[in-house]
Amino acid sequence: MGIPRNEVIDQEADLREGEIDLRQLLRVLRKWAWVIALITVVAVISAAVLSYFVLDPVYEAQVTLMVTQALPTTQPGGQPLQGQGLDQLMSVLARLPQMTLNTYVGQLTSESLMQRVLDALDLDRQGYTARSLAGLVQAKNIKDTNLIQVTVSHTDPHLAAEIANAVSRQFVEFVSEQNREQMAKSVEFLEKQSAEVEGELKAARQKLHDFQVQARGVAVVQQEFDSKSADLARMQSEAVQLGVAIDQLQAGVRGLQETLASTPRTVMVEEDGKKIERLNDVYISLSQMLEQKQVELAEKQARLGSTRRFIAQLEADLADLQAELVDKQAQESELRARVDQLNQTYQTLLQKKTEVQIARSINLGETSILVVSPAYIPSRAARPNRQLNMAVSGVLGVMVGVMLAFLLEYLDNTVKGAEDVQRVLGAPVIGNVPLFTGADRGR
Amino acid sequence: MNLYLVSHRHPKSPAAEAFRTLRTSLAFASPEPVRTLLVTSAAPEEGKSTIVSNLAVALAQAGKRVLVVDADLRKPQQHRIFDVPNHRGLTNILVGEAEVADVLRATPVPGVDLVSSGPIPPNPAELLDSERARSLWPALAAQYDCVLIDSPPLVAVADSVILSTQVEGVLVVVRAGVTRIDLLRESRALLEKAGARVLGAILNEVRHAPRDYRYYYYYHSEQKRRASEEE
Repeated sequence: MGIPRNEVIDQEADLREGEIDLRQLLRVLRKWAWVIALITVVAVISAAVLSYFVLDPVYEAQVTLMVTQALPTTQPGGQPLQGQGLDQLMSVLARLPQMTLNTYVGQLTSESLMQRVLDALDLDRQGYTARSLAGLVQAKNIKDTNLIQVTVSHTDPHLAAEIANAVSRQFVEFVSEQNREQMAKSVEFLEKQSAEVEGELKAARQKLHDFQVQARGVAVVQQEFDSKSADLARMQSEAVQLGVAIDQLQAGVRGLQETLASTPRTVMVEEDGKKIERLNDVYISLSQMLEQKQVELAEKQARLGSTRRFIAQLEADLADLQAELVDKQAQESELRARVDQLNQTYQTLLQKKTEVQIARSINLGETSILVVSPAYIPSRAARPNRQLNMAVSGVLGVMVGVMLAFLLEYLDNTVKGAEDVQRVLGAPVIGNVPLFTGADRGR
Repeated sequence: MNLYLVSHRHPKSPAAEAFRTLRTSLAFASPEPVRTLLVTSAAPEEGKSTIVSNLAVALAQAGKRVLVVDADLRKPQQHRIFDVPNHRGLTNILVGEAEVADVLRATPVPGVDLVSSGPIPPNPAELLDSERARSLWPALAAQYDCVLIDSPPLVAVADSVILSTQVEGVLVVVRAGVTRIDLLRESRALLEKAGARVLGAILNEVRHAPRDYRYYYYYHSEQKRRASEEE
């Protein structure tokens, strides 16, 4: 049964073009089907033996915790310090620790918590360590919720539930204790700070007081300044009055002088019929009046001069006083500002201290973590998942088998068929002899 | 090894049919009839002897006079296949102790004669490389329609390469899934170097794909049915 030559050449052409012939692949798979089947069966059987006879069943108990005061984000710490200065700093120091869900999840498998569970359940006598216990516990945050699921895997279902419940119970306490510790530290810090600030405040107040009660305090200088100012005002008005009076007197003197000039010094008086010249009475009285006025004027002018001197003196004094006053006022307000500032700091510290003390009295563990669902004793083993194990090893077996089949085929360097002969020998296959079967043999 | 004359004992079996097909293909493999035909293979145990004997039977069934010569002087098989003694044979002719007529044996298969290997010599290659050997084949071809020569493997010893230069055509037996590609390539180089005329290859122990196999059986059962109708 010779394969026609053109068919051989066609097949060779296919090979040369590098086409993967699906039939070739199927042929390989069929050829090594027994290998694939064997490996698959062995894999499935060993998975079954492992799942049913070797691996201990593992039970999973679950506790669901709800965190009521967690930050929505997983960002640690908080915002950086900005604005509001002292107040901001205070609240950073003294607020409740900001806990993210991941912080809680991380703490749930911490060794210190495991140690507490060990102590609570007396498990160390059974050979458990904090580390080995942590290996049994898994905590994870359920996505987009504030729930944390704690899963405890153990070959003993009762113990699994017991450990799960102990973990949740101890965790609540653990968080409370941690919080109290943190608050205690805050209070301690705030107390120290407030004592320090109080001391400074006292010193500043004393300084202010000392300044205020010194010999020439601001008040004294102010008073002096005020009285001198009043004097000055009085003097100035007096000077003005004197000026007015002087003007009037000068006008009177001038009038009198004119009148006097036009008044004859002597008059002819008929005394006893005879005319005698005698001093004019009017004139006399006028000149007397003039004299009087001039005296008065001189006196007023003298007074005005002394008043003016006095005013100049006062003005000089006042300038000095004012300089002194400004200087002292500046000093005083500086001291007062320092006192005010310290006072404010002190008040803030006191307020925070109170807040923290209140916070400390809150039981953070119990208020921020709720056990939503306690652990129940699991009735069915979670692992090994027999069907899954067998299915997986079955699939793996098939894959390994197929890979092995192709590997064996690849490693097989024997002639497979007519196309190989044509290619290697360079001569056509002119005959095919089948494998003689038992029927052919007939012996 | 299929040391078995299936063509003779079960002429209607698929295997016998395969040898008849081979016979036909062989007739078309060369424009003029090839009278001396060397059957060899790259490595041992690839089915040379079985194919030689069964092909001889198939040719004889077509009415030809066939001579089988066992030139495998290292591991002769033909006398066992045809169930004849091997006291004297080819080696006796080559050393000049006997003439062809002295060692020629009739086999149980009508139309097939056999020259068995004879006693195994210490130097088969030298023996085959003699002038006597070269002149032997045309002499035998004159008496028979076809002389089929069984031979040792190509790669292991030089015998077959020597013989390939003395015959009209060479057939290379290839055992599917067993013959190594590198040995087959080496065989090709040896034959090309010797200038042998390779008529073609015979693919032995082909495992048919199930679908082809069904077709194969169907086809041959049809033929057999027709053949029995003709009878």
